[in-house]
Amino acid sequence: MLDSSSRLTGDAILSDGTPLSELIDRERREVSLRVHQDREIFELEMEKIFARSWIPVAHESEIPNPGDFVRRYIGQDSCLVVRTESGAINVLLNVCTHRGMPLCREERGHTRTFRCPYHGWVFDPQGNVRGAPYEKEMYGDWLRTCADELALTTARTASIGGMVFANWDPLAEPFDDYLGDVKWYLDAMINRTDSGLEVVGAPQRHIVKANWKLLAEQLPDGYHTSTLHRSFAQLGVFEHKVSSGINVSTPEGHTMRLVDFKATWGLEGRDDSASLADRLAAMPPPGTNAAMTEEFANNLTEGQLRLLAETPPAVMGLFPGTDLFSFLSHDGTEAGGLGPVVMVHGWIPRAPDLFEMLSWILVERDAPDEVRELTRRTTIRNFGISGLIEQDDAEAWRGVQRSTAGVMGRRINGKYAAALGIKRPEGFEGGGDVYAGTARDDAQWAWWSRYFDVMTS
Amino acid sequence: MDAMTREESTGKRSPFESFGRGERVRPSDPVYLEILGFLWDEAATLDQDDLTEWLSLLDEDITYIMPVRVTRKRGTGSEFDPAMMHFDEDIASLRFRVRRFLETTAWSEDPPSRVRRTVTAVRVYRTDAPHEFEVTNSLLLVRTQDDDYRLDIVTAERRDRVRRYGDDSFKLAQRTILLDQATVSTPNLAIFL
Repeated sequence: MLDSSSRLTGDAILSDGTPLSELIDRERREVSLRVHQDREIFELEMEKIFARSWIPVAHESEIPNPGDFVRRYIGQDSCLVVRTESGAINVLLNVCTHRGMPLCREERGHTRTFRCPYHGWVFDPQGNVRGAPYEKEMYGDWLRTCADELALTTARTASIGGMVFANWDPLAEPFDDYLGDVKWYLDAMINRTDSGLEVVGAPQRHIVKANWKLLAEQLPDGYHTSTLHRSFAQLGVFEHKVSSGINVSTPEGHTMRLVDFKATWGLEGRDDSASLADRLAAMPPPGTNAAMTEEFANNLTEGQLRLLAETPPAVMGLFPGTDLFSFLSHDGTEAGGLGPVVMVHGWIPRAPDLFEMLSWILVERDAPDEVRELTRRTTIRNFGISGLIEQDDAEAWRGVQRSTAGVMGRRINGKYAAALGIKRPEGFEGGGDVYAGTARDDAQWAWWSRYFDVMTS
Repeated sequence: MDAMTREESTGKRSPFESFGRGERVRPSDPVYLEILGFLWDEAATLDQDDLTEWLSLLDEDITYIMPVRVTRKRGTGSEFDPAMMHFDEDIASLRFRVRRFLETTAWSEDPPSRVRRTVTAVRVYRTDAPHEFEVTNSLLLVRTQDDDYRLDIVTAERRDRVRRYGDDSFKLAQRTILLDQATVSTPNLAIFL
């Protein structure tokens, strides 16, 4: 067992004597695949990462009215995401402070108070205890005098583009600091229109038989697409080559892949003198149409408009528990057109070899019905549990998890040696470390560097 | 399909609300037995991984959906999301899925899963269209992949609309899969239910 004093700060010595910090080789850019197998590491991740990080729990549009709530998880802790009378959103630990019963077992509902089904303590949406059966006989005025101590544990909350994030750690960095340079890109991705995005409905939920990091670290991996997702090239949907474009990472461990429109969609013939507005209208970002792009200038800077027109973010990972996708793929029709994929993933690590995935689909509130419908259906068909793209990812993650379960398998190192180095295209306005060109391992390596910094600090 | 049947098929009803309201077809009725046979054959076709044959059992206007399920308190409304789905397919998208499995390196199903579908509790109802029947049934699906000893079990109520052609031939015109699980316990739906 881990020494309890070593759990919260500094390097951890695993039970076989190996310091956690030795599982990364920063010079060779390798990581021991033991990190996906070890129960001790998993427990440490729950303490040092999931209990202290900004985790996506809901979209504001899931709980539009005061009293609306959904039940979600942060790490393995069940929490209630509640809209209060003032319109604010609170995130409460779904554990009764009396004896530990979940206050709520339904996943969605509307209520003014939460009454524990065990002994009947009642809490309001702020988490304050409001009473209990036979309160005077049982407790006198104790529930009132010790109200602070008896209140539900509350998380800090923040949101961007309507996605609500929560963090249990009162000392954690503010949400905007956590986002850092990625906020500029993220706003361009999901805060572009006047009315913004809303969810199609409740997120898909399903299990994946793999360690959560196999998903989290994969986001900036453009290398796997030409082999694992080769079927899309064989079907003529995507070109069959290593993805080129721009990868970005930030010191917070966030990563993204920006598509190079010219290279990917063969638009070399387009008139270079066309204005940004014309370019955006000619190729509206996923989930919008030409008319909607006129609103973008109300919400984005010229640099962000240029980003969307020339090198839009297609996939983005926020350390440690959020993925966002915004790109075009096969719409599943006979004619085989392209449709928008707009999805957000969160995840719940359940065990070293199992996580649950949540998949929200986002559509523009004010988009015409046909745009919303095309986005909804294309996203379902490409991403999430039945998605033709992510079907194959789930198989790769399960495969790595099983093959590194053995004594010998877990001694193998994952390799991230393909370095490009920072290459910032001339005039590129986005922040972070920018790697332009054929996708190599730089951004993924930045993810692992951040992971080990957090785990050993 | 002939134009007459196509016209009649516009009578599809919402599988969430008004399914199975028509007159019950008794289990002793030959029609019931023919539909039972069709469902068994259809399940066997999938179990045998004969995806091309399976597509031939689907009608051109099929809608094939699996809504997301969310746990709710008794009496507070449907647990099924009306818009968010695990599957939302028509004949073109189902053909595209099958084409990917059969013609490309679709790693998720190569080697293919082994899946056993048990279809029970079949109830058949007449509809306003004389050749169409609404059928509810229970599906017990057990999936295993390569030599992984773990079994994935998925259970659901299926609400099917089955359309009769001639004396003994049927096609599936609508399938709504109402899962029992809020969190689906298989890593992907690279299989059909």
